[in-house]
Amino acid sequence: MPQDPKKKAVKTVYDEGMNEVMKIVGSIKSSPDQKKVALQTSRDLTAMLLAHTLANIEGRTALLSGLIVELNQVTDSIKVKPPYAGALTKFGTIIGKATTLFNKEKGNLLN
Amino acid sequence: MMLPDVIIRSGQLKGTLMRKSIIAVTIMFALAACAKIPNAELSQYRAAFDKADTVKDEVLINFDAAISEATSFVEDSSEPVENRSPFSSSLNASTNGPDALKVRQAAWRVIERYNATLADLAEGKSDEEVKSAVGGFGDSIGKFVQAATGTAIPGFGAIIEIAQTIAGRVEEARRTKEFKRAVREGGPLVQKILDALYEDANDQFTIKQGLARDTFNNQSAALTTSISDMYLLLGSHQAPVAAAPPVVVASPAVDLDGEAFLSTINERLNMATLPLAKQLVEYPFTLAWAVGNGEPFTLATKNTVDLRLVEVEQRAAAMVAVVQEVGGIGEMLRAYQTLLTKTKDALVKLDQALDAPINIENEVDEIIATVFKIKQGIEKYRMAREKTNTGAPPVAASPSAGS
Repeated sequence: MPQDPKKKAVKTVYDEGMNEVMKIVGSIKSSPDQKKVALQTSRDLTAMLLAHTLANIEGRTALLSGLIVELNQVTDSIKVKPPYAGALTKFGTIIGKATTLFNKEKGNLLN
Repeated sequence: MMLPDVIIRSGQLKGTLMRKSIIAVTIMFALAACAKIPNAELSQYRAAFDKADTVKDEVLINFDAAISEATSFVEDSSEPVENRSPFSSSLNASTNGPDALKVRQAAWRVIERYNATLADLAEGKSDEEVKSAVGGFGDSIGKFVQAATGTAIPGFGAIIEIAQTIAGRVEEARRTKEFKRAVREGGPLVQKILDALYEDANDQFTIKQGLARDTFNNQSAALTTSISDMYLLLGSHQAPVAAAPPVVVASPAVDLDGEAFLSTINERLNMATLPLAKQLVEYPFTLAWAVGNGEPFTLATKNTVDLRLVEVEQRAAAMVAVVQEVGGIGEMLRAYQTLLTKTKDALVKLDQALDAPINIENEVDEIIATVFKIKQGIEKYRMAREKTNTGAPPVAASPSAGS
């Protein structure tokens, strides 16, 4: 899948910034003040990356919500059973009742 | 021509017409049902989905935790330093709009339901239900006629059997068409859902790695501070000397072979930080004693050096553990994405199989079997009619159920 350009830009800024941070925090020659600034930068870059990622997830949550509704609609529209089977059974029951009634009336007439 | 001949010949003509009509209708329905439901591809798709489904819970739990941690981090970072609290501001750590976890869980369930419906269509239970409904309906008609006229319709049972066979094939054709529609309409939606879940895994890893990297940086800063302290300590002290008895080392200097001690310290330091070599600018480290004047190396200083070394070893191990944890999460998510991809591929194959060329041999066998059943029904009907015309007792109207 092609990467979102904004995501790519954010990641580039993040990676470049973090590389510089790591050079400072990974060196025994860095002063405490330098390390303090580097760690604040690390925090800020991480917050930027996470905020952007959370926004992506939020967007995808909305997309998924819509897809769920659509797929449910498709599933509901699928006719697993034929539309006429129920009608046939119903008609059969009606005719059965008619037969019973007919036999009863016939019996009454003959008696 | 004698009347009986006319009657017989008209009966034969009607029988021939009836036979040819039924055969023509049967072939038509058989052809309509030729596009079969690709059961093999459906099974493969469901198996692939079920495999991804078994690991999704662990992934989603991790996903939810990642969102919570990321949200807390972002919120905390935006607060001024003096307002930062180690405790959450509320019970609801995640502020990511509609619950992201619940939506993903619902997405899995909706696909499960869709798959189950496809399986119901493919199973073909409705074919037997339709045959049973036709048989029951026919049975009711036959009983009514018998009640009304006093006699059964000759050969009616055979007609019902023919109707059931045709109805079964009609239902199969309907199911197949419905299945095709279901895959063509639902398939793309499933693909989009799987794509979204795939991208979720990428973002999940970004969050975990981002948080880990910040932790790693903090630990790295502390680690290099400890190593720097060791450099300062040793670099400001004279190398101790181990005195050979009866000589005694003057207090407060510690009786110790300085070079051997330094060698051990350097070895332990570099062993502990070897896994982090790429991240530590000055690796490998070379601690050294003071050149020229230096403080005597006392027991207290030695204890401090030992303490710093233990700190370095523990911090290095913790940093390695962070890297390994992220690696483990990465492996889990990559495996999950692989299962999602396999599910997508299986769904593509299912869709392609809907238009697969017909296996003519199988289709011809089925058509022949269907035609044979109908011919059997026609023969039964004919025999029943003949018995009626010759005065033999009529055949009862009840068809055999579910044949």
